[in-house]
Amino acid sequence: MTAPATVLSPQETVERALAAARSGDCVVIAEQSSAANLRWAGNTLTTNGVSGSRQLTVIAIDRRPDGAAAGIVSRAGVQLDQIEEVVRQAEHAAAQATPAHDAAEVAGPGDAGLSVDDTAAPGWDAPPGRTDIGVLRDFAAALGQTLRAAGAAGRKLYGFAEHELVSTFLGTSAGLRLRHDQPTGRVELNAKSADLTRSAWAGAATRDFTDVDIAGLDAGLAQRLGWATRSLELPPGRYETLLPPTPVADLLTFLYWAAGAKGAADGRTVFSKAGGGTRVGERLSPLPVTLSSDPRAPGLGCAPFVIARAPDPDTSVFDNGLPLRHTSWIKDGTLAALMSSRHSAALAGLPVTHEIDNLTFAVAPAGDTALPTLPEMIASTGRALLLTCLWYIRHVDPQTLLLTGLTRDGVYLVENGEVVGAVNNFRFNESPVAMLGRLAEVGATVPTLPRELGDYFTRAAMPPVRVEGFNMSSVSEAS
Amino acid sequence: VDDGQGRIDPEFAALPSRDLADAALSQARTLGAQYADFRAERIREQSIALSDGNLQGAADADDAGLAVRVVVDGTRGFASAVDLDADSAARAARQAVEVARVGRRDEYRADRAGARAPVSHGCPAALLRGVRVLSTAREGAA
Repeated sequence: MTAPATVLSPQETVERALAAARSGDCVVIAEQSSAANLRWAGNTLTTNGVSGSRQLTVIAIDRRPDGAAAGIVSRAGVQLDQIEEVVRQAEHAAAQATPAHDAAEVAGPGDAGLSVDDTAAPGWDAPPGRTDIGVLRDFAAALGQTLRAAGAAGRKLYGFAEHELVSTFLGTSAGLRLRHDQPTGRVELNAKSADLTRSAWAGAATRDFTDVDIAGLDAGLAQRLGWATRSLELPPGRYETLLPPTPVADLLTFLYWAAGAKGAADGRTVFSKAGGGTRVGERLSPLPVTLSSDPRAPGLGCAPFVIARAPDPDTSVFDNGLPLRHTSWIKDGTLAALMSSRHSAALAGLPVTHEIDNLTFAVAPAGDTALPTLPEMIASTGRALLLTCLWYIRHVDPQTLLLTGLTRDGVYLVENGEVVGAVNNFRFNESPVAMLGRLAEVGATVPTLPRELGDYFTRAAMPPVRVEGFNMSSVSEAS
Repeated sequence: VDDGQGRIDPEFAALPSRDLADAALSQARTLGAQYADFRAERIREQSIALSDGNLQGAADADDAGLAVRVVVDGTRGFASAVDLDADSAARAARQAVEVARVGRRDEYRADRAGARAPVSHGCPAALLRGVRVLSTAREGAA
């Protein structure tokens, strides 16, 4: 797409904005994004789309005797003659603001601390990355074959595939210049029986669609629809439950996002210690499980530095550009760190561990024993539910992280090593933190896509797990 | 965007929305779309966080863009852009038609033996009668 002559590159936009700044300090974030998607329904491709955008965020910092105040303005589609206007708006907001509780020095080149690995990424001066419908070409060909095969077998497929590429350029008045290109892709597939009475869902995250096996996803759904040819009614209650990687990703992402240092230090969350302080150092699971994030995790790569466009209790715009490194939130079953800014880490008396945009959960294998796959865990089951999808997940009690939600698109009963039929849907009430304490088995970790949170969080690797006493609190009429 | 008294933000109202819609829709018609619609939008947002009466942070955001949606032989195409000018609108219309044609090929259709694709993929059938191009901007102004 050719930009109008009045549109500068993101790099030039950053430099112009910083040059226009009159405030004490300034942080500028310029992002350029492009996206492409395909949608299908009833075994027919229905809609194809592309989009593009530019976003400029200016964080002006007014340093004055009573402290430093930040003014933050973001605007889309900024052209050359509007850059200074955005800077002035941010400076005006800073002048009107009260001093920031999280004020700190902005990062300069000496603070970045990025490793030489980052030299492999596109440099500051390279043009922004871009995606288009072509990234889906091979996937679309495979999809066409899968849609025809499904139709011939009496299944109806619905779903979408989308790919986005965001190039982020971050500059500070202290001289820091950082750039990150983030590809994000996902496919969601829903299969229904021809009479629409049976339904199953699968999804996958990807960086470039070269690794998406759409026929394999459909084959897995065909198996689940086959399981559902027999339906069973079960009452509410606590059940031994097998959770595949997708619902594990949803539950543990809720846990991750609740693991803020400030809320814990304030005594407001499940990670607050009775009587004050946090639960860091406390054992959460009897199994040696690890929950971690790493900007350089293979296949899950994300920004290796802080990109903060707005503040929240554990995100500080003053921290923009600070480096992100591998962080274990839970290590060997013990709470090891909480998400923090420099400010909230100091409040909580913890090391600084910023939020990172991916999440991996895994168990250390015992000796040389290979960790089981989900089919192997099913095969070793006496009686349990197999819960494939969670939906409408909401908080009930932040102090225990009790969540509620519905099952959807596939709850099955496993007996004597085999799936024997589909079960009615339930409303569940569970805390992922309490669930860690009732893990009976953890399988091999694989890349997955959280279904409920997939609009916001796609980079996850999770294992299937076996949980004792998963709480199905009532039967749901939802289908 | 409204000003809290039911009036549209004058800055948004001053946009050349009719010219943008005409540029997009005439381009879509020229390229063979049987249906096209256009929209432009601006979303202004302000977030203010308080804790125990103390300001924790505030941020203002202003998002804007245009989008063109077309139907070409029963398949929808969509494109959006961030620049609110006629060239950008026409370019989005071209992209929407191009990407719709990606999905028009028989290989993606379960009904490939049929002479025509059905028009029941969620598109209102009324919008697919004949070669009709609607301008949402004009309708809104009528």
